[in-house]
Amino acid sequence: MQIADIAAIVVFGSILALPIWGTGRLFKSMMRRRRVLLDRLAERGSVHTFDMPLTIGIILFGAGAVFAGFTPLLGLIWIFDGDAEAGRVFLISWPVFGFFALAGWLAARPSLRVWISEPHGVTVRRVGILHRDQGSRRERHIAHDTITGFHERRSLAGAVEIRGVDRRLVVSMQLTRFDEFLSGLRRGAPNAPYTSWRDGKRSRGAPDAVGPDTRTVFAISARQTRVTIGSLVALLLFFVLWPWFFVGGESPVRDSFIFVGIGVLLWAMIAGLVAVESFPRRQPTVLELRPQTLAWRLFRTGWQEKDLRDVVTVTVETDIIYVRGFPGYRHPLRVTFVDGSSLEINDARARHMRTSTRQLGEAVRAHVHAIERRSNADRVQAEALVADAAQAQGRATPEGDAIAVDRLRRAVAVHPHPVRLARLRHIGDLHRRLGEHDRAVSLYRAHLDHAPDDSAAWEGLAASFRELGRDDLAAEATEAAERILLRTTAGNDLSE
Amino acid sequence: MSDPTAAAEKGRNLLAIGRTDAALTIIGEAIASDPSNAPLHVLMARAHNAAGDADATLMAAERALALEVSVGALHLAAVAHRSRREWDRSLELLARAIELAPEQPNLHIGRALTLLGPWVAPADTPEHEAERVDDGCVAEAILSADRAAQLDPELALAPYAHAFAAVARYDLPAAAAHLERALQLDPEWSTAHLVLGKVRARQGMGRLASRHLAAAGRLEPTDTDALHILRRLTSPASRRARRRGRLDLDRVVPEAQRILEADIRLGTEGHR
Repeated sequence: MQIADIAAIVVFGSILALPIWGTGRLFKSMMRRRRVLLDRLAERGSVHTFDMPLTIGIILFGAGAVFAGFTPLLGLIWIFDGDAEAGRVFLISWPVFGFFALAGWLAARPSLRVWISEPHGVTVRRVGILHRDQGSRRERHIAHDTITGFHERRSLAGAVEIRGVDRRLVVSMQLTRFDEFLSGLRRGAPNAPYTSWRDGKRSRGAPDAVGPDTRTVFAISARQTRVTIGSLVALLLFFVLWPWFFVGGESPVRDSFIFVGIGVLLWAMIAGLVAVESFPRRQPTVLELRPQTLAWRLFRTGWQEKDLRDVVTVTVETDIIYVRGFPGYRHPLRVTFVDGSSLEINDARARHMRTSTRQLGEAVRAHVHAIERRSNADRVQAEALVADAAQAQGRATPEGDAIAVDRLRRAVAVHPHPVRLARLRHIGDLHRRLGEHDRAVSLYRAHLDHAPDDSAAWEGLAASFRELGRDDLAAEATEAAERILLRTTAGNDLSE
Repeated sequence: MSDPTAAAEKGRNLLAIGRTDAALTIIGEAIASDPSNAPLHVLMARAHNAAGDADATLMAAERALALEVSVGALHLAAVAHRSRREWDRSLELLARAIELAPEQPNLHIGRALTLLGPWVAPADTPEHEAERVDDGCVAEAILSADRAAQLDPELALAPYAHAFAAVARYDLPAAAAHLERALQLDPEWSTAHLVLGKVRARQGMGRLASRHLAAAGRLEPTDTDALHILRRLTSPASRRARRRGRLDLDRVVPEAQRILEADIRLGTEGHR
């Protein structure tokens, strides 16, 4: 290899590496500024945003930068060799880079909004791509007492429109700790109704109609019809197109139809297979809220029923799933019972029922926690169970803790008074101490529905997630706990 | 000194203001004039304990016990045995002391800390490395700490001992909660800040950890533990930054940044 070749390799390598290195530096610097800015904003309240669009935007920008990195070479060829073609490519490449940069900026835009859940309202702040603090000039605020309603918007990732008296704000459901954010808003504006784009289409079971003595049904619909139609189309294609292949002589039109038909048939078969395989059979196809019970029916099985006094927690959880390395949030509803069993309904099943897990969760929670339906005997029994639990826990042994957990769970289920529901964190702590981390997670979630600013519950949740190997969720919970602790007076007292 | 009572009083006062050597001399002279005075031996044990001499503490406490069995002598002997990692003997003496004075919270705290001995004082020699605290000991320690808290709710040592029990159970959220409680009772306690800083760092809360470590460093500037952990918290991720010795100060709160910057400046001046 000659020196000229080595020099060329070095030059080309540098041209390729420099934009990548520069983009990496830009990203690192931006994320650092972002962290500092978010920490500063966290002093005002709970901060919610999401970083993934920014990452995607930077990748797009980086791709454009790599492309543009070659252009100076073409410019040099154009100037010194007078090659008009190189000049043309040089001139065209800059708009292409501009297109990538614009696409990157558009992709990053959702990350450039920071939502701050404050004690008396919610503020959205637009931050520049360089994350310089520009004061409150780019803020929009809605006070809790001016919120008139919440409306779920139909969009790919899901969004909720917060309607105020004089303005509207749209927040994506992909926001970190979205449930906590929405719960905080709804607690601040308890009279503002929550509606879904599916409300107009729902045939049965409107959550707004749920009351202590109302019978409400949530059932999946239309799926069987769709599967039947799909199967008929596939059969038709098979029986009509296949014999046609053997009829008559040469016909290019017929052959084209047949090949397209076979393609559609294969696609339908694969889609059908995916639909059947992904259909969660352990989740109910019908959920019915009866006056004294909660009943559901699984796929091709009979009815199952649980007494309302057996329900310990009703929580809409947050889960992160990774599709091709990118995280996405899911919000399954989980109902746990005193015997340790649970019922889960995920987002897809809730969609089949023409509702969302959040609305479903609220309906079930309102139904289960309606204290009016509980008798005085239930209250007395709950108090006796709490006393038993205190005695068992006084032993400070795992056996004592296990007994205390059992008693407290039953106490909460039998008489879910707000005071008793405040014990959910305590039960979660006991579960965690016993190594039952999946149960502890449900309890902490349920507690955080009532008290989202309880840093100890976030800490417990983080510890349980860590034990379950969910480091991503643990990191989010830890961050929430730390932000709350840094905001509290006790933490601020430490500063000089 | 002729009057042992006056000497004892003077020795106690000297101990209270931290002049341990002077106290040892005064009490030693008093014992020489009245060797059968048990309270003087107890005071001597206290002085040796304050000076950090476990063997001398034990010797003085045993002399006091030979003359007269008292709660103070039993407690000091137990503390000396604990320092020598003789957990069983220490527990035995504490049990006797608690039998004599069940309402003294310090004895219950001493029992809790002795039960958690290997955690409170980690082994630094190979022969002690196999020491472990079993679940039964931790449960007993929690009961003792809770008993101390019941007897004196304002005593910061009680939640501190409970926090160690929680650490022994790998229950970091509970340990943090009890240390926060201890700091509510005594906000200027540097050791509690240091331990809480370590717990928060282990939990992954770097900024909060740095806040407590900075507080510990401010309250006890001679203790280098806090600074050492702060430096570890800010150690940079990239190899290049590590090679250049650059710290990532954004990871810690402003007060910790100031401490680290001062440390870096002092270090630079030292090199020059």
